[in-house]
Amino acid sequence: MKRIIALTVVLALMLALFAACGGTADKKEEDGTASAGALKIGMEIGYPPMEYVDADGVTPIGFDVDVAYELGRHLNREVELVDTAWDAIFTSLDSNRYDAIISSVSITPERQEKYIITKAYIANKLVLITAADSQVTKPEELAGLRVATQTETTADIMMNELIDGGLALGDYFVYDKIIQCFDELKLGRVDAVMVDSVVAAYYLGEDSERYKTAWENDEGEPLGIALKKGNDDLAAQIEMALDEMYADGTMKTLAEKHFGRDVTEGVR
Amino acid sequence: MEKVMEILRQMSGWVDPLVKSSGITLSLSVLSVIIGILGGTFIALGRISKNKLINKVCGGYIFLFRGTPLLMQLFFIYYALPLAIPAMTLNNRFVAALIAFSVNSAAYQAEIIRAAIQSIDHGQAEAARSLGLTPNQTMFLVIIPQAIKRMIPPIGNEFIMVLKDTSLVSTIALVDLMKRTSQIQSSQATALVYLPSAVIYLIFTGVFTWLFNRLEHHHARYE
Repeated sequence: MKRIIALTVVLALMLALFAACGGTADKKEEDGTASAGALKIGMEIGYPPMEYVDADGVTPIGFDVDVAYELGRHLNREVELVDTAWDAIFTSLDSNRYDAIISSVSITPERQEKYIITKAYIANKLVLITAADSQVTKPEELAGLRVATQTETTADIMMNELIDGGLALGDYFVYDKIIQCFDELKLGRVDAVMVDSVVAAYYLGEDSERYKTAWENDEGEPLGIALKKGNDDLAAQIEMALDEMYADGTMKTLAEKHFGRDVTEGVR
Repeated sequence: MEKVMEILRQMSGWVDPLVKSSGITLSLSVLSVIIGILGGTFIALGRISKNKLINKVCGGYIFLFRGTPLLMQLFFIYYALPLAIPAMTLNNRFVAALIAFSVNSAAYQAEIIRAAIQSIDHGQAEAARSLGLTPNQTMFLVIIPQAIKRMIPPIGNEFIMVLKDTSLVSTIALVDLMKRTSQIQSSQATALVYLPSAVIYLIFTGVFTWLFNRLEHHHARYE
C-alpha cells in the first residue's frame, strides 16, 4: 500500500513538472512570434539614476530605461531590456545578445573605433567625489589616497592612465557595481570616487552635507547609444528617433523627471 | 600555422599577470581550508558531545553557515557588519575574505570530520576503554588517527571547491585570478584569455589532488 502511495505521489510530481515545463515552453514560443521584431537593449541595471530596479526589486527604471521605451515607441517596435554585467557589456554586443547598448555609454574615440556610437543624448562628465572636508581639488592631488571606481568605466580608464603616468595612489580599487564604491566612501575605506556626473548627482543628493564634488573634468563625456559595426540601418533609425524625441520635448520631460533639470539641453 | 603562433605569443604575454594574481587565489584557499579544519574539528567534537548546549550551538553554527550563500556571508562581513556594529569594521579586504571563507569552510568540514569520526567502529572505543584509556585519550589517540584517513578525500574535495569559490572576492575589489582574467578579457577585447587562466586553475587543482592522494596513502599505512 505504502509503495502505491509513494509511486502515485512521484508520478503526480513528475506530471506537474512536465506541465510546468510545457507551459513555459509554450509561452516562450508565443513570445518569440509576438516579439520577433523586438528591439533588444543591453544595459547594466544597477547604475542609478540611469538604470536601476524599483523598490519591488524587479521593475527596471531610470533615465535610460525610459529612453529605451520611448525609442521603441518612436520606432514602432517592442523593447526588450537585457540586463548584463558592465564588464561584459560590449562583448555581449559583439555576440549579438542585443541590438544596442543604452547604458550610460560615454562616447570615447576608442569605442567609436570599434562600434557605432550615436550622437550624444545626454550631457555628462567625470567628477571626483570626496568627503566634504577633503583638500583634494584635482586628480593629480590624489597621491597617497585611496580611490575607487567601477571596473572598465571611463573613470577606471582615466585612473589607470594617471597611475601609468606616475601618480602614486595609496590604493586603487575597482568594483563591479558603482553602489559599492559609494558604500566604501561612506564607510571611510576610500577617500575618493571617480564617477559620471549624472550618477554622482544622484548619490550626493542623498548625502550632500558629508560629500562634495572636488573636481569636474573640463572635457565633457556625453553619453551615446552603442551598436555593432555594420548595423547602419538601425543606427540611422535610432538617430532619427532621437532627433524626434528632442524636437517633441520628450527628452526634456524625461530629464526633468529624473534629474530635476534638463541635462539634455544643447547636446544635439 | 602563423595564426596559431600569433595566438600563442599573445597568450604568453598574459601568463605573468595571471600568475601574479593567482597568489590571492592560492593563499586564500590554503589558509581558509587550514583554519576551517581547525575550527571544523572543534565544531565536530561539539556535535558529538553529550553536552546538550554545546551540541545545539555547534548544530546552529553549521545550519547558519552551510545554509546561506558564501557570497552573502562575504558581503555581510565586509559591507553590512560595519554599518550594524561599527566596532566590527574590517578594512582589510583580504582578512575579511579570509574570515568569510574560513567560517564557511569550517561548517562544511565539521560535518566531514564528524562523519569520519562516527564511521570508526564502536569496538575501537570499547577496546580503548577496556585498556583503561580516558574518553579524551580514546578520542585523540585511537579514534581520530583512524578517522583522518577517511576525512582526507572529502577534505580534498572541499579544498578544490574553495579554490574555485575564491573567484567571489572580486566583489570586494580583491584582484584574484578570475578577476584578472576578466580584466584582460575586457581590455584586450578577447575571450581567449580564459584558456591560459583555465590551465592555471587546472595546474593548481592537479597539484593539490596529487598531494591529497599522497596524504591518503600515507595515512593508509596502518590498514
